[in-house]
Amino acid sequence: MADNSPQSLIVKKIQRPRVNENEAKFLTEVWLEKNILKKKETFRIGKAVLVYYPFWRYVREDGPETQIICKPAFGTILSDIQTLTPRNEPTDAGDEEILTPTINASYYYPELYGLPRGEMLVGIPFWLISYKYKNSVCMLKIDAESGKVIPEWHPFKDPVNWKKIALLAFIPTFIICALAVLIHPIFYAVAAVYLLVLLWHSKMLAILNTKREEGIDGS
Amino acid sequence: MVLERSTEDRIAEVMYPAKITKGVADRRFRIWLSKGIKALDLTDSLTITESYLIYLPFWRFTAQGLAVACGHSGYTERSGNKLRNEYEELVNEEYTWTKCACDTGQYGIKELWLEKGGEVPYTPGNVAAMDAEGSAFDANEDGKKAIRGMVKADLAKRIETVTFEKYFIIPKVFELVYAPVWIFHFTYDTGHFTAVIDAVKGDVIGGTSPMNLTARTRLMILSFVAGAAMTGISIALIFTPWAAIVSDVIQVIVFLCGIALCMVAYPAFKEGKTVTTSGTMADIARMRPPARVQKKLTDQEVLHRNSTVLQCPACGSQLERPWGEVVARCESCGALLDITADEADMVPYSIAKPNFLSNTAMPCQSPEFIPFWRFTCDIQVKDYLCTGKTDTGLPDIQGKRDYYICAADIPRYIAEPWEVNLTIRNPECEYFENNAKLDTRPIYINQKTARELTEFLFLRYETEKPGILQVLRYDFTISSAEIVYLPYYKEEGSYIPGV
Repeated sequence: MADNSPQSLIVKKIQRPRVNENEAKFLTEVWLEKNILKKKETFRIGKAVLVYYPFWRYVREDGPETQIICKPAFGTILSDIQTLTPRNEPTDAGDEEILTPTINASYYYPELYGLPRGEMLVGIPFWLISYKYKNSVCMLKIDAESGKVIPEWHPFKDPVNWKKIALLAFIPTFIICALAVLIHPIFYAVAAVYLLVLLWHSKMLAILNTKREEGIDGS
Repeated sequence: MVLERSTEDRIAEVMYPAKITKGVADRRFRIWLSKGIKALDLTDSLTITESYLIYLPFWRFTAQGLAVACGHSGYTERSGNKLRNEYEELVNEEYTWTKCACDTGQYGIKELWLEKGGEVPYTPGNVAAMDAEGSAFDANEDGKKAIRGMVKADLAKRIETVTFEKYFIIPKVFELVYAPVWIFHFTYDTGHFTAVIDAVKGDVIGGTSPMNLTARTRLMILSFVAGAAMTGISIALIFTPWAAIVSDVIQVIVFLCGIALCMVAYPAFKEGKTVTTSGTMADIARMRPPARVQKKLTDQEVLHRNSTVLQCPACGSQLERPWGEVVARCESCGALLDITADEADMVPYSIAKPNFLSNTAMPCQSPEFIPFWRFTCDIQVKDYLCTGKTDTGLPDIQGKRDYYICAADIPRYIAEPWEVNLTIRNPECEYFENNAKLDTRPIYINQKTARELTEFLFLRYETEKPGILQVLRYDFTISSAEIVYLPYYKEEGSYIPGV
């Protein structure tokens, strides 16, 4: 069992990264094109930083199976890293920059089950990649061991064409109301009917055609 | 009142214990999802990816805000008469400032939402907590500035034109408070969202969620239809012969309102609350271990800093640096020392003997020796204006006299009348020898704080006189400072002075 005093928490092992910087940036591009970007939109990938986060690596024997679970040894509100299952055996740490662990191993005991067969602190590498999209700088993190993209702060793809809605509501109503003043008040009724039609179909208007065109090479 | 804690070496760390279990938090989270204009099928279609308890750190600064302000506010009656109300305001309240000490990204948590009470000491490592970022010194300075602003805002509520104002901030406690929250990460459609739930009361305090797109679309349609109708009608009226009955001004107003409605509605409903983008390159840097940055000394401070070891100026023995700025005794020679961050100064002190009357009245009781700062002050008033003043026979405390400020841990509402009485009528006492072994109360208010309280005592005394103070300009000089222990007899919760 590990020493539980926070001062003695030293990370001596790390998981080796399998994804290098270029691969991480490529994965980012693919993810953005698939999940964020609309047609003709551009983005720019900025700096990529490799950070080793400290994790508690618990080995638990659960019946015939041996499970390995990693839990963060530092306080974080980043998503999707509360429980990790690394595939490779950790190796000795060198001069890698690893964040300081601040949580004792015993903190996660109530969440674990099975016979304890070992626990240690390991540094798990993540690529933190920033990208500029429209006028925002957003961030993704990529598990440098598995290559899994974990979106952190990113703009949501808005499935509504707001310009279309605004124009559809404004221009016809403007014309109909002007006609109501100039020609006959019956056009006010037409405007009211038009409003009802718009409201009736608003759910349909809120849906954008999200189908993506397939490239020649199937991309 | 207690002393301000150190802002560099050690920060008091406390935490609120979590009272909400994961199950209760989950129920509150789902109730929150079903309220407001969120996506209609949210509760059925979302996937909760993670839910966990974490403690967020907050700087909390508590201080006593003391202020005096005078001035007037005026208004004009319908008849044309101009009236002026004159005010004098006295603020003597406790203020609390809090600020989130970590980066919470897009969740919008900036201040502590929990009231004081129920905290327990924080033990690092036993709970999952975000680390506090930045400098405690900077946070302390921010807190002082913010509380000064709060005091000023309180004063400005009534007074339009201020003719005299003076503020003092008496720091009490500066601490790092950890508040527990349940974090729920969930996905819906293509988006990732997060809800933050207070783990003490169970309220949802921040986060992001997908909104009801249909509702947003309908609201935008209604706004644009209304805007288009207003602009269309107002323009069409220009070309109609019977439009003369409608004033041109009204037409212009309606036209402008229509345009404004569209301009406001478009960004409001287009953005909604689902589009939350945050994060900069600076945020990436902040993912690294946050270092508690120590106060940077200026070149001047470095040059004048002889040693990092504090020594007693009387006997030369090394002092174990106490926590914060305090007045404490040297354990070797018994000298009273005013210890600040960089140096220790000897403080002269004397212990007053109980007078004959109190000795006779309390023959079987031994007094408590309560410490007071005694400042010899010279206050020269240069300019003074008070409206509606009546002579009440209250003595003036201007000129040269001794001012007394209670330095013990005694509530201010008890200590303040003592201070005024002792200052008005400086007591004449006999003193014990300084090596007399007497049981004295510890000192909780340092010299710097006591000096500010002295000036406030004078100002408070002036404002409490009948009449409304309007102008007060004065020179305030302190020629000497010392500690005087005065005997008080404690009887059924009250104190009877022994001098």
